[in-house]
Amino acid sequence: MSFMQPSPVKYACSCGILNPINKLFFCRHCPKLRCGFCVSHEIESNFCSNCLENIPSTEARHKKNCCANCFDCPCCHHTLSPRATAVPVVRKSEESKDKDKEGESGADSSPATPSTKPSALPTTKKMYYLSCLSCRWTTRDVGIPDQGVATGTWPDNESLYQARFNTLMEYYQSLVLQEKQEKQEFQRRKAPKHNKYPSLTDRTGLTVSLIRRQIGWSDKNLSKTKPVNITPAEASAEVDDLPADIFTQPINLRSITTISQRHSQPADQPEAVNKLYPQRRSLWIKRSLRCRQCEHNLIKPEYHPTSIKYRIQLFASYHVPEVVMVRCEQPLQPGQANAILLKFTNPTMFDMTISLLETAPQEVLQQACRIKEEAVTSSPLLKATGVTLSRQNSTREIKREVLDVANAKLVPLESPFVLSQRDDSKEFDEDVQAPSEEPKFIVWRKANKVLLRLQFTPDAELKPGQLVTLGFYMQYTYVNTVSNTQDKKDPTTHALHSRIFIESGSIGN
Amino acid sequence: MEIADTYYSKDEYVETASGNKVSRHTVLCGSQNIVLNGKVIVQSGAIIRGDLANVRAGRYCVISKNSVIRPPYKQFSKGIAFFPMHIGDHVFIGEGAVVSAATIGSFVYIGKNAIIGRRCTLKDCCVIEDGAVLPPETNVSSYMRYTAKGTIEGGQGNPYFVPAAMQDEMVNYTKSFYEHFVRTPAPAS
Repeated sequence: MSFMQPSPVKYACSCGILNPINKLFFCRHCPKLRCGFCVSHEIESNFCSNCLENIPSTEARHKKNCCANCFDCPCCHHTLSPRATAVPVVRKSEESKDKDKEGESGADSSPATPSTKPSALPTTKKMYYLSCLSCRWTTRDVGIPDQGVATGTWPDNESLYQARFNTLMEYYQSLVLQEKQEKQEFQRRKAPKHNKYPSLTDRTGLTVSLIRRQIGWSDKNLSKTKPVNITPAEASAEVDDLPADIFTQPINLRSITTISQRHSQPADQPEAVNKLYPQRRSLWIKRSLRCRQCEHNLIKPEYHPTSIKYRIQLFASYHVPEVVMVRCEQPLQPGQANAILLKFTNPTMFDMTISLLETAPQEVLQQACRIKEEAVTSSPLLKATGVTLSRQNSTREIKREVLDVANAKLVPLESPFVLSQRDDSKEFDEDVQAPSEEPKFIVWRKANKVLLRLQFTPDAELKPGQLVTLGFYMQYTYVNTVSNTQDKKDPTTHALHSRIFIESGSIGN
Repeated sequence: MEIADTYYSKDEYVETASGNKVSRHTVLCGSQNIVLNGKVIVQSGAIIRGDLANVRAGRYCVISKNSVIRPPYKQFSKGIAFFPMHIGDHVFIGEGAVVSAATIGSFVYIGKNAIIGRRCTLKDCCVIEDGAVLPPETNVSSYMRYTAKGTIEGGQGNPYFVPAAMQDEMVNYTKSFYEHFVRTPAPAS
């Protein structure tokens, strides 16, 4: 069983989507399970995945979210790598195309180029071209001259309409600015005068213009920005006729670009392969995820592109007991009693009491949590920081009911059981714990792990090949070490529950 | 899902003092150049070309059946040169994979029949899908997934391609793989 394969044990997220535990997060402040769907995603940092350079967001925007040094192949979208060639300073034909760094130090070492004059100076210069190691495309294929420096000097592919785009952009930017100014002016006029002597309370200099206006002078600092005029685009019905040879010339498909090649070069969308141009590599992001309800971060990666660490990591597997399916005792048959072995692991530093229930526990505790939530969202600190930041609005979640997909009848456990705390040093202990009085369903217990036997009966009307899904509520005690309120209190204990579905396998024939 | 026990016969595998389990049915060329840092499993049919350059593998690596570990080479004006290859900790290399990367970081998963071209660099916590083919000199950065289609997806914090807790997942997986890779119990009992 590879861990890349989908897990048979799924947890219902608080938004109602089933996920394996490794895709879930646990908000300690709510405290609830969250998945990638019900959190807000934010850009933490921009970086180039090829050269691993961290690029600040303003610079990234300036560079149109592209890396300055790395290029993608226009043919196959793989990364281009620079190749060095030694070119004699005396310019001659580019014979040294086939291999990188063909040492042509002297004329005698390259008998394949008879045109070299033996009298020419043996000095060579390193020239670079870009080559795709996936499809063997090179910049020489489209006639881009070799560069003396490996990176940075490659010319941009200026599209035909670049100037037009720039003027349009300028125009609309000034238009936005103008509208903003007008709005401000309107607000200023509308605002009532607060006192008779504004100059006494003035600290900002804004009232200077007010006084000027009272005297009857014109505002001096408000030079209205006039948008530059643009020539409006004109539609024309005249379309060039098709060239006459389009019907007579046989099409050479090798010289025509594919759709994806054209789309990767959206400015000019070339039709022929000799118009392809190296594309700047687009940047990648690191995301931080934030709980939409309490606006606390769930994960926050470290800034550096090569770092794999997190500054905040609230993975569900650190807080919620993990359920691992070991095996079913017998082949699954409809209507026949069976038992499944489940391994529970406690990832926290506190003992947990777990009970498996068939129906949802009462909502009393949930109510308490909700009140706490309100307290969090209305805290002054969050108001101060949260409002100014641009982010997706916090939404009250709409609870989706998980469809009842379980199709087996469980025999409930007689009693709750205790899952002892995680202790990393226990891993090295050899001695077996003295068997204490255990409930009958517990097969073995080792450190923070418990293997238990859960009896169930698949529904009688299941057909061969159908999946048997077990569903239950796992109620567990969770000790929360973060306190939402200002005064430091002892850790609070919650009784949380999450719904778990296990695909135990399919009915045998 | 719990990993099922994999059994091996006592005659087939050699266990070293540091816990490496190496099959006898492997081709380890230039074994003095191969360093396995402990608790590494090398399964039957694997080929490690230590004769070309040094190969170092960190702790808890799994080199599956029929995979080929071959140090990368670079072409120069005067012939070619081979470069040493470093593999980090907790790396899983799937069955039939051909790897000639320059460096492989820690917590990397390489799927079945993947082909890693020469001088690729795989950073920590990346995933190579089953059957993916990496052209030479490809860089796969952390938390990226190289798909069988040849695209790179993911990024740190993106929960859909590489699990956010990739480090813990790989540690758990390789450790439990090692623990469940056990000798066949003696038939006498």
